[in-house]
Amino acid sequence: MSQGAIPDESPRNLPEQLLLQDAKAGNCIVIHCGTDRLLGDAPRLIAIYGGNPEDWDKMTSIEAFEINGASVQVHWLKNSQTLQEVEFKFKRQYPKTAPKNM
Amino acid sequence: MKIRCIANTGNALPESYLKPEFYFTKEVEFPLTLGKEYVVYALYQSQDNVWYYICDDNYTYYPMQNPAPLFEVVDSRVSKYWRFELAPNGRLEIAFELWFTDPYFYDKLTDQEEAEVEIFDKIKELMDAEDFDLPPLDVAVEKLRETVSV
Repeated sequence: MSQGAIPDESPRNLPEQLLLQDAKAGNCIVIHCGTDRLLGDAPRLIAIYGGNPEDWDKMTSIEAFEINGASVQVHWLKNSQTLQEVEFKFKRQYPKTAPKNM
Repeated sequence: MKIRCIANTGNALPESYLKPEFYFTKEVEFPLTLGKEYVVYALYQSQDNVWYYICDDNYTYYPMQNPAPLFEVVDSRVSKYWRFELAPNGRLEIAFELWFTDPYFYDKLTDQEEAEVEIFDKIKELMDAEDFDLPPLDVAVEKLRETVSV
């Protein structure tokens, strides 16, 4: 597991760029609230960005765009006290392929 | 357990669910279809609010928490895969076993870690196909007594 800061992932294409902009503009929601259950990355986040373990939440774009055959969302981490948002990344989920022998 | 969507905007939520810091506002639109039924894979109650983990209309690989007031329960029978946990802070959570075995299961799942994605995929398949049909009470008891008396 990485111990350092994870840089924001750059969008690969225009639809991903639009998805990122949309999410940053507020079309997003919390996936995982640190006050309910701590994130596994909380110690790393505190070491790099500060705050308390329960301050760190995981966020997602509400939209999931279909881009090049994948369903794409943006995830990132947010400090609920300072409102600092870090480590944006794209989650691309491709459809499962059927077994070849079927 | 199955629920049906009866509202899909923050406008339908009681004040206790509205948390602007988490973008749960009156204006938020949830990716849910009115009238559509969803299987509940996990749920929790915290501070008098209940949240269902379901595969909403933007489902990719993990279930997402949604506020209970957006739904009505259409099938209240619970999954045989469910376990429950009462945390010291009073949070009651009901989910499948692996959700609790690893305290970071959901964190890893949402991070798209391969093992957790595969586990949820299998759990979802099992829970989606779960057969809740039970024989009438008298028939079930009679069958049990026959087994016990042998």
